[in-house]
Amino acid sequence: MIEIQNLAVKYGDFTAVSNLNLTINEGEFFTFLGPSGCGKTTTLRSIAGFEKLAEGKIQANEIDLSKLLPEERNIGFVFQNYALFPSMSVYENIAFGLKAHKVPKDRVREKVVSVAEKIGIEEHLNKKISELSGGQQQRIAVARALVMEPGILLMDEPLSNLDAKLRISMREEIKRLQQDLNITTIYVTHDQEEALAISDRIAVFNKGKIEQIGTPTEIYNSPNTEYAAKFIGDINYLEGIFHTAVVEQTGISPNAHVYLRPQHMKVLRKENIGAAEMRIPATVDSFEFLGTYIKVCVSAPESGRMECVLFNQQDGFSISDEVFVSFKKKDLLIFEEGALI
Amino acid sequence: MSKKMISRIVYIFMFVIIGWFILSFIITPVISVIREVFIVDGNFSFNTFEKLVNSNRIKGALSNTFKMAICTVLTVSLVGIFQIMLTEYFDIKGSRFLELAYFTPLLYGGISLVRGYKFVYSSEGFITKLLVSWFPNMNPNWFMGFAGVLFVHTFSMTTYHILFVKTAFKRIDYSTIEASRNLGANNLKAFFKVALPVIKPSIFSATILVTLSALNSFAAPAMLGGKNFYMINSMIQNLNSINSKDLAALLSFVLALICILLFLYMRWLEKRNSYISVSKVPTKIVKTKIRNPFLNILTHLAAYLLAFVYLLPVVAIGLFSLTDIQTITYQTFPKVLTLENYIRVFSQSITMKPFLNSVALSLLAVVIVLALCITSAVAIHKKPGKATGFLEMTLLIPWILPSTLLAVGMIINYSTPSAFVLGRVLLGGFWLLPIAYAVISIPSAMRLIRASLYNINTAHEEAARSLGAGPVYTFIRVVFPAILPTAASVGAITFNSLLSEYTISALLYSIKNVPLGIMLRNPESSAETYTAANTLVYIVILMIISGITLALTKNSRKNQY
Repeated sequence: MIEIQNLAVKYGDFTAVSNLNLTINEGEFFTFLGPSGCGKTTTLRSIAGFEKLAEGKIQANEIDLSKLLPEERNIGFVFQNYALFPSMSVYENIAFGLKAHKVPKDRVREKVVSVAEKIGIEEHLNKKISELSGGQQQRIAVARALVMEPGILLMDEPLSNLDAKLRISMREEIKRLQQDLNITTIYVTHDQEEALAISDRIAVFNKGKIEQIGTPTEIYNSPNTEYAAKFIGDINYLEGIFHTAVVEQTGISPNAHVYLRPQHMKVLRKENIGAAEMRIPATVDSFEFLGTYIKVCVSAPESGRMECVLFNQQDGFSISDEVFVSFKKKDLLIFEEGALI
Repeated sequence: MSKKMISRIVYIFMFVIIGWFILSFIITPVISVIREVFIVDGNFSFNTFEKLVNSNRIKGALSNTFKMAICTVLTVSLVGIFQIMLTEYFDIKGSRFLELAYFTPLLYGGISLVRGYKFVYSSEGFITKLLVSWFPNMNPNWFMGFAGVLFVHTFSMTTYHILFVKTAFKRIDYSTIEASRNLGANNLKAFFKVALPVIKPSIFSATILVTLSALNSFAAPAMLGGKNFYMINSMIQNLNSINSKDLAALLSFVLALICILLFLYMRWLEKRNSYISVSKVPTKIVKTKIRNPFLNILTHLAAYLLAFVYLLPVVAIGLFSLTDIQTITYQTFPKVLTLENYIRVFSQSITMKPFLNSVALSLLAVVIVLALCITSAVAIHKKPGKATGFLEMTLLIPWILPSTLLAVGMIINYSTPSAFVLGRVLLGGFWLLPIAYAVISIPSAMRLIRASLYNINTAHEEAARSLGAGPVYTFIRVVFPAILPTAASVGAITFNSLLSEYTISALLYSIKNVPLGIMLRNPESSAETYTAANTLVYIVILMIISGITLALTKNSRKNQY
C-alpha cells in the first residue's frame, strides 16, 4: 500500500504539486491522468525519489520513503523515453540493476532470461539498443524494471512514443503482466481513453491537485467536477436555447451548468419524436465519418453546437435538415456551484 | 572510517588539487601581469605606460597590429564569403574539389602553415622566382612584412567562415530564395538580399574571431615580419628576450583589454542577432547556375585560382619532402622522388627528438586537461551553485585572455622560486610548458565536455538509481561511457592543436625542452644541413595527424558548432 500525505513539490517559486493526499492499494493498477503540466509526472517522480519534497510524506507499506535514496526504494520505473543505456546491449541493460546489487553471475543470467521470456524478447538479448524498434525498446524498459522484482512499478507515459495500433496492443499486454505479477502499479498518462481501458482506479489531476479519484466508470458517469467531466470522454456543454430548454423542462437553477455525452443523444425527425422524454429543436450542421460511427453536429441560433453520434449511415439526414435532439433526464450531468447534483 | 567519509575526503582532496592548479597557473599569473604593469618599486605608478608612449617601436607595433586586424577582416570576409558563394550558392564544376582545397588550412594551422606558405611564396620560393622571371620589375621580397602577413592571414583565417558561416548557409530555407526569384530578384540580388541577411549573425561571429586571431597573431609576424615589422605578440617576445618584463606585461595587458571588449561585444551580438526560420518544411539549397557564359567562365577561373593558392603549399611540401636537399634548397623541379628524408628523420634520435618531445608535452597536457575538466564539469553539472559557478568561471579565464598574457604572467611568477610550487623555479625546466599548454586548452575542452553532459539523458542516471545503483556505480557505468566519446575527441583535438603550438612555446621553451613549433620557425638559420628537409617531413606528419584527428572527431565538432 502506498500512502501520500500532504505532498507538495516546488521548483523555485512555482508550485508543481500541492496538498496531495492519496492511498493506493496493494496490487492495484492506479493511473494519474491529466494534461501536461498538471503535476502527475512530478508526483510519480516524487515516489521514485527523483524530486525533493517541499512538504508531506510518502509511505510504502508503512516505511517512510522520503528518508530513502532512489536506489534504496526498490521501486521499478519505466521512463517515457525508456532511458535505455545506449552503450550497453539489451542483456546488459536488463542485468544492470542486478549487477549493481552484486547478484552472482549465473543468477543474473537466470533472472534476465526468465524475465525476457515472460515479456517475449528473449531473441533480442544480444542486440544493441539502436537495433530495436520502438515497441521492442518499450518491452526492454519494462523488463529492466521488472527483473528487480520491485514492490511498486511506476510507468511514466510509457506508450506515448508508439503508434496508435501498437499502443493499444501494448497497453493490453501491460495490464496482463500487471495482473499476472500482482504488482502495485502507478501509471501516468494524458490519454483518457488509455486510462479508462487499463486502470483499476484513476486520479484526475489539474494544476497540481487531484480533482477526483475513482474507478473508470465512476469518473465517466459521475464526474465530481466540471473539469473531470470535460477531461474524460467527449461531452457537450449546453448553452443558449439548449440550456434554456433543459432548465424549463427539468426545473433546475438557471445558473446550473449542464453537460451531455454524445452517445446519450438521439437525432430524430419531427415525425419520429414519439414519447421522447426531452427534446430540443435544432438544425443539422455537418457530418464527420469516423468508420464505426458518424459524428453529426447540430446547432441552434446563438446556442453553439452539439455533437451527437449516429450508428446507422446518416439515417437519411442531410445538412440543414430541421431535426430534434432527444435525451433522457438521467443522462444529464448538472453542476450547481461546481458540484454535480 | 565509513565509506561516506572516505569518499568525502577523496572529493575534498580532488578539489584542493584543482584549486591549487587554478590559483597557481591561471589566477596568480594574471595578477602578476597586473602588478608588473602598475606597481613600480612597491608603489602604484603609470611609469610603464609612459615608457610605452615614449617608445616609437612599441607604438609602431600597436599601430601595425590594428592596421593588420582591419585589413585582415576585410580580406578574409571578401575571400570567405566568395568561397561560400562558390561552394554553396553557385553551380561551379568541381565544387567538391574546390571545397577540399579551401579546407586545407584546417589541416595545418599556425606555424606549419606559415612555414608552408613561406616555402612557396617567399623570395626563395619557386612561385615568386617564376613571377620575377616573368615580371623582372616585381619586388622579390613582396612576401615579407605587412603584405606577407596579410596574405597568410587572409588564406589561413577563412577557416572561421568554413566552420560558422558555411553551416549557417546550409540551414537557409531554399524556398525563401525561390520566393525572392519568383518575385523578380536575380541571382545576386537573391544572395545579397535574402541569403546574406540570414547568415549575417554568423558572419559577425566569424569576423570577431578573425579580428581576435589577427590581433593575437604571432607565428606570421615572427616569421615573415623581418627586422622592421612587429605586431603586439612578436613585440612581447622581443621585449621578453631583452628582459623588459614590465613593457611585455603592459603590452599583453593592452591586448587582453581589447580581446575582452571584443569578446563581450561578440556575446552581445550572439544574443541580439538570430534569425529563426519560420518554415515548417525547410527545403535544401539548390545551387544556382550562372547564365551569362562570360561571367560563368570568369567565376570558374577565379574559383580555381583561389584553390591553386590554397593547394600549392600543401602539394609543394608533400612533393619536396620526397626530394633531396639540393632540390629543396633551390626549389628546382624534382627529378627523382625518394623516401630518404623520412628515413633520416625517423632513424636519427636527434631529428626525432623535437617531435617526440612535442608528443610527450602534448600528451601530458591532454592528461591534465581531461582529468581537470571531467572532474570539474561533472561537479559543476551535478551541483550548480556559487562555488561551482566560480570554478567554471575561473576555468574559462584563458578563453578570453590572450595566451601571451598567461605566458608572460607565468614567466614573472616562475622565473624565481615560488611558494606555489614548493619553492622551485619552473622557468627553464620541463614542466612549465605542458602546464601552460594545458591551461590554454582548458576552455575549449571544458565547453565540449560540459555540452556532452547536457546531452546525457538525465533519465539514464535516474534509471540507474531506480535500479539500485549508487552514485559511484552510476558514474562509472552510465555517465562516464556517455562522455567517453567526447573526452576522446577532446583529447585528440587538444593533442593535435598542441603538437605544433607556437605562441606559448616561443615564450616558455628552454634549450632542454625544444618543441616542434620552435623547430619549424627558422630552419634557414640552422647549421644542420638537412633541417630544411626535416621541416618538410615534420609538416607532412603534422598534416597526416590533423587529417586523422579531423576524420575521427567529425561528430563532436558538429556538436560544437
